[in-house]
Amino acid sequence: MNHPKPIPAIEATLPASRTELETIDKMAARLLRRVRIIASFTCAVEGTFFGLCAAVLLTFLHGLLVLHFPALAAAATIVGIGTLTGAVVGALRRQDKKAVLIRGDRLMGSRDLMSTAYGLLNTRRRTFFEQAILEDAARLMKNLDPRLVVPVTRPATLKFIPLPALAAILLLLVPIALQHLPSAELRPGARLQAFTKELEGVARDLEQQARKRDEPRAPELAQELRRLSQDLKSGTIDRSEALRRLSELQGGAEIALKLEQSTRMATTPASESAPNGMANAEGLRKGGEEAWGSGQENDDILPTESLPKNPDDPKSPFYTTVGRDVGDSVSKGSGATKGGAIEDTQEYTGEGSMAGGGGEGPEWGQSTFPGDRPVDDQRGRPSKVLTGNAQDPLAVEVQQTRGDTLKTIVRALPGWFASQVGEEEVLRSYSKQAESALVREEIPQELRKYVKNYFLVISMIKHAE
Amino acid sequence: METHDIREKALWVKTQVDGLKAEMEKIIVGHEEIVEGVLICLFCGGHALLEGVPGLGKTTLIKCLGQVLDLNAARIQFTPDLMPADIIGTNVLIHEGDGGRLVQFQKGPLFTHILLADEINRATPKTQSALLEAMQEQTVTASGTTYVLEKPFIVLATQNPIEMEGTYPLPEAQLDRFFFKLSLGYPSAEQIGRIIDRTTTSESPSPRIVMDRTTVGELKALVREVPIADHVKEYAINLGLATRPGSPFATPLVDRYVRYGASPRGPQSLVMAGKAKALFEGRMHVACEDIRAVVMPSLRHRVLLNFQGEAEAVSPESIIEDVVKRVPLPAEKKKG
Repeated sequence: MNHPKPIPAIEATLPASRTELETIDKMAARLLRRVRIIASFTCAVEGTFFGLCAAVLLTFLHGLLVLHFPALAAAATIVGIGTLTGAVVGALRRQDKKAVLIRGDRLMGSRDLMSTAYGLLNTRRRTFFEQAILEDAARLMKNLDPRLVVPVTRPATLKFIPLPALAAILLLLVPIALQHLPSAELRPGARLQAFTKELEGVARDLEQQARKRDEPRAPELAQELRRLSQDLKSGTIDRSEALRRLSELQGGAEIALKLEQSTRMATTPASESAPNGMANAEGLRKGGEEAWGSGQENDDILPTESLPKNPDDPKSPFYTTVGRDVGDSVSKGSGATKGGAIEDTQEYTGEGSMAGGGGEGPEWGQSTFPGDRPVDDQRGRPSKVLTGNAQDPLAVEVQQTRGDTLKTIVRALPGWFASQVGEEEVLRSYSKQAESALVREEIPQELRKYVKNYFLVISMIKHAE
Repeated sequence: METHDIREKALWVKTQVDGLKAEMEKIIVGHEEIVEGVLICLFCGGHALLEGVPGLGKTTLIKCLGQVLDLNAARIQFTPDLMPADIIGTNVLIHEGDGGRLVQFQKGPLFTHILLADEINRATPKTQSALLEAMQEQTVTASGTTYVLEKPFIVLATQNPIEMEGTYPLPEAQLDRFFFKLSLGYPSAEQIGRIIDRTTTSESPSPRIVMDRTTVGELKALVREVPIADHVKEYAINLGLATRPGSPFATPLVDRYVRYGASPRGPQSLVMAGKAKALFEGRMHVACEDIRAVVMPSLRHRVLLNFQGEAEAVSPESIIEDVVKRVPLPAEKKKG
C-alpha cells in the first residue's frame, strides 16, 4: 500500500490561470470559424444542387410553356441564388464553441477533455482536478491542427450534382446546337432577323407618330412590336405564340397606321400618302409571311398549312379583315355585301349594305373601315386579322349569340356591289350594336378591347378628318 | 499540493486498480468486466447483484475480493427459513459470573465489510427486506437500538436465474438499491482450461493484499471529486429518462415493453460509475464513453418489463441496447 504522497484535502482550490483559459478560448474560436466556413460550403453545395434541380425544371417548363424570358439566364440566376442562399444559411447556422469542441473531442478521441475544460472556463475557483483538466486541455489545444479537429466533409449532395447539371446543360444547349447545324441556314432564322429589324423600324415610326399626335395607343403598339422583335430574335417564343402576337400587333399597327394615313390624307392627296402609310403594314405582314413561309421545310415557327403562299388569295385562311369581318358579319342578316362564309361558317347570302365603302362600290379589300376611302394599293389586302382564338390565331371563332344584334362573327369574302347605306348610319348602327353586345357580355373578354379600339380609332379618324 | 500531484494520484489509482485486478485474476479466470464492476461498486459505495448460473465463480470472486482488500468478508447462504435475526443479529441473555444476567446484542453476519448474500432470492421477503436498511443507510436497528456498520460496507448478492421454483424474486424497491447488476456468462473453452489447471492441481494460488481499508476510503473520496461536464451529465440523465415509457426520450421499444423505467438512482449510478471508470483509467474527467461503458450494469435491473415484454421474452438488455443506440451523444442529432 504505497501511495506517492499522503492524500491531501481535495477541496483545496486554485486561482484561475489566464494562459490556459486564453489558449482554450482562442482555439475554440478558431475551430468555430472553421466549422462555419465548412458549413457554409456544405450548404452552398446543397443550395447549388437544389438550384440545379429547379433550373432543370424551369428549363423544361420553358420549352413546354413558352415563358417570356431567356432560359439560360434564368437557369443561371436560379443556380446562383441557390448557391448564395445555401452559403448564407450555412454561415448563419447556429453553432457554439462547446458543441464544436464536443465533436472535436469525439473525432480526436480525447474523451471529452476539451469540452470539459471549456465548461470550466467561467468558474473562478477550481479544484486540483479541474485545474489539471484545464492544463491538460490547454496543452492539447495549443498545437492542435484545426484541420484534424474539424475536417472538411464532402456534402452528401455533391455526388448527385452532376445529374441535374447535365440535364440542365442538355436542355439548354441542345436547342442552341440545333440552331447552328448546317441545315439551320435553310431555316428562316436569317429572314426572321431581317423581319425583326423591320418590326423595330415600324415601332420607331409608331413612336414618332405618337410624339407628333399624342396618341396613347401608338407607343404601346411600338413597345409590343419591340418585345415581339426581341422574342423572335432570342427564339423564346414558339410558332403559335409568334403568330398570335404578330396577328394582334399587325391589327394594332394597322389601326395606328390608318390613323397616320388618315392624318396624311387630311393634308396630302391619298395617292401620295397611301403607299407610305401602308408600307409599314404591308412590310410587317409580308415580312412575317416571308420569314415564316420559308420555314415550311423546317416547321420551326409556323405550320406549313397555316401559311398562305399568296396572301392575296381571298380563299386563304390568312385572308381576313376586321373591317370586312365586322362590316360583313356583324349584321342582322340583311347586309348589302354578298359574302360567302368560309370554312365551316354558315353561308351568308342575305342582302344588306357593305360596311364601309363610302360612295363607290368597293372591291374586296377596299372597305377596310366603314367610310374609308378606297385606295388602290389596298386592294386585295386584308386589313386586319381577327384574332378570336388564342390557340390558332388564323381561325376566327364563329360565335352564335342570342339576341338580334350580333348574330355571327365570320370571315367573309367581300361583295362586289356598291354600298347602299350611308357611312354615318353604318357606323352609328354598328357602334350601337357593339356597345349593346359589350354591355350584355356577349363578347368574350379578350376580344372586347379590339371592339373598343376599333370604334375608338374610327371615331378618332373621323374627328381628324 | 500542485496539479501534478493530482495527476500522480490519478495514475496511482490506476496502478492500484490494475494491481487489484491482476491479483484477482490469479483466482478468477475471465470475468474481467465483473471484477471491474465489483470494484466500481466498492469505490462508489454501492452494492452489486450478481446473476449467473451455478458454478461460474460468484462466491469465489467475492471471497477473493475480501482477500486482496484486506477486508472482512462474510457469507450468508439465503434459504427460505432464514430469518432476519439470522443476518442482523439478536439479543441474547448472557449469564454473568456473579449470577447476574445480561441482555446483549449478538451481531449477525451483516456486520462485516463485504457481505456475500448467496442466492438472495431464496430467502423470504421479510429476510430480504432486512437487508434494505443495511444496504441503504448502512445501519442496523435491533430492539430499538441502531448500530452503524463499519465502512466500507458492500453487499454482493447472487441469484440464480434458472431455478426460480421456491424463490422469492427481489422486490423492485430492493432491486433499485443495488448499484450494479452484473451478469456472469459462461467462460470460454480456453478459460475453462485455465480453471481446470488451477483447481485440479495441488497448487492453489493465494492472492496477496493490495489495498487496505484506509486506502479504499481515500479512493472512495477521490472518485467523488472527479469533475463531470454538463453535457456528459445531461447524457447520463437522457439515458435514464429514455428508459421511462411515455417520456419524451423514450424509444419505441421502451414504450411498448417497459412498465417502469429507471428511477433517479439510475442516472446517479451512471454518473458515479462513470467517475470511477474514468479514474480507473487515470483520467480526471468523465467522458461520454465512460457513461456508455457502465450503462448496462447500471440500468438493466431498473427496467421492469410489462406483461407484453414478459410474454414476448424481451430482455431488459435488448431494450437498453436500443436506448443507447437511439439516445444521441451530445452535439449529435437524435437518431430514429
